[in-house]
Amino acid sequence: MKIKQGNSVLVLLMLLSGCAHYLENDPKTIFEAGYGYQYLPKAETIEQDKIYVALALSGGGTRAAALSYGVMEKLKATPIQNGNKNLMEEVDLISSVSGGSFTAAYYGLFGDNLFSDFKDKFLYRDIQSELTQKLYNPVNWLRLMSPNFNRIDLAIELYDETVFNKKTYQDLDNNGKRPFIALNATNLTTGSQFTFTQTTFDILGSDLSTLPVARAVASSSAFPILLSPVSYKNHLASKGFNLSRDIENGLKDQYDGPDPRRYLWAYNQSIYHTNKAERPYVHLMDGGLADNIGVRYISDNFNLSSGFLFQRKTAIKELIIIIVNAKTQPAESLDKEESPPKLIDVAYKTATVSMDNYSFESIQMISDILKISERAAKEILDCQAVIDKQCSSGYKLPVMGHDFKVSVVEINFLNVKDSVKQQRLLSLPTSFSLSKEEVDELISVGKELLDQSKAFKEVITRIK
Amino acid sequence: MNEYIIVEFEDTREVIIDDALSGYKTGDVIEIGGCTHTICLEGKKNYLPLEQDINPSGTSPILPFKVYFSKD
Repeated sequence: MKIKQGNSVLVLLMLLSGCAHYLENDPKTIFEAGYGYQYLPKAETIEQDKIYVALALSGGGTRAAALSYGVMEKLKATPIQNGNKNLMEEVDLISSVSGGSFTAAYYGLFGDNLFSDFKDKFLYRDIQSELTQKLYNPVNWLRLMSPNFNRIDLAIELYDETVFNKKTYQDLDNNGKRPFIALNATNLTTGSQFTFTQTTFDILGSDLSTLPVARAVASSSAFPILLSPVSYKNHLASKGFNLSRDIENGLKDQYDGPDPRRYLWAYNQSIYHTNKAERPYVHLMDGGLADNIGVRYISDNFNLSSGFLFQRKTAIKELIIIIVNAKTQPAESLDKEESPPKLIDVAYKTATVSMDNYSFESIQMISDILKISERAAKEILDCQAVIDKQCSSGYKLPVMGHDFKVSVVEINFLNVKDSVKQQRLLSLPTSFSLSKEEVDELISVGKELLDQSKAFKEVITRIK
Repeated sequence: MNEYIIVEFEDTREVIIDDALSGYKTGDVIEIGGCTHTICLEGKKNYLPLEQDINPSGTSPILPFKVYFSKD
């Protein structure tokens, strides 16, 4: 009898574990142009675009989330246009990665409530301990036995219930899309950036609007090894959907053509549409693996003809990119030992070294791209000035269609003047558990660094 | 690598690049990526050719590649 009861319990437990499944993204059977969470139509933004402010919020756990919060609080306290507005109201886009995605998503969903709620809702919490407690719950052991339910799904539940109040992308969409929130993860197969917009989900034949924002944030911050990847279904193509002409032309050019970068972008986008049978799922991890600064989404949208920034170049007069880079330089002990690092250390380093290496290059890259565009307009004006001075013909060169001033502001602990404080900040861990004092210091440092930035002071002088 | 083009047409129209309104007008110097793009004009399709694939290289803001459309 006891054996029978035991067997019944076992069968019940197996059934329970087998039932556990991550939340699937919904299909979208019919494609609708302009549907869902994608950048605003140009006609609705063209007046606002004259001063275009984009924030790039880096990864780095609670450290990055708190530093971003501090910078955003300072922007809110910065009056512009004779005090009629504050600079936070001028922010058009927030592109974020990992820890920065918590702050970005919260602002997108709850607006200025960020400044009253977010500290208690997220920054001051010991999220790591809360996740561990979930792991101790025997009910979750059973769920985790299912191949379709992982540690990350427990994290998603925690974020969904306690941080983002079960809000979905439809809620984000209802808030008006300004600023537009671009949460970035990394496609584990292609290594390319995956941004949570309906444009990306159109390729998956999927509807982003029903997806909990917590799931996107968790994908963006699924730190390698500690958390498992987040899986998405690549549904059948929506009826009426076709790849954009930008992608088609990129593919036509081939890898050895004039722009291999656009070809790779087009290839990585297209394979989930053209080869659905071979790729029925997409697995995403921390956005920092592809770009730990969050600037690539901005530079892609500036360079590509399908990008909303490219299409607004002629309207913009001031293009302001504020990069919140919470990069640290933790004390390293590997070089002190003769014996090679242990497997776990190697695995951790392998997973994170690329995040640190390419941050500097990414910032330089976007700065160079924007400055080249800025200079192009000036080059014509300079030549015209020479012609006007030297020639009496009155010959007029054609004018550049765009003419904007570029400012790239980087918030980085390396700019902290006090060396003891700087060292303390550079040694902070990447985790979802910092002390209240550490969080408060990060918020305060975010404000200070923005305040002391020469590039930021120049911008404010121009637009005040 | 950026390239520069001018789209020449007798009326002022917005230039469509790769099926998307670019914000640039005919007669403007336009900055684009150095790769294949499909160019056409906004509004009535009363011009020829209806679209052109271009792949400019070696241009500069003061020596742009010219793309011509004429009225049908």
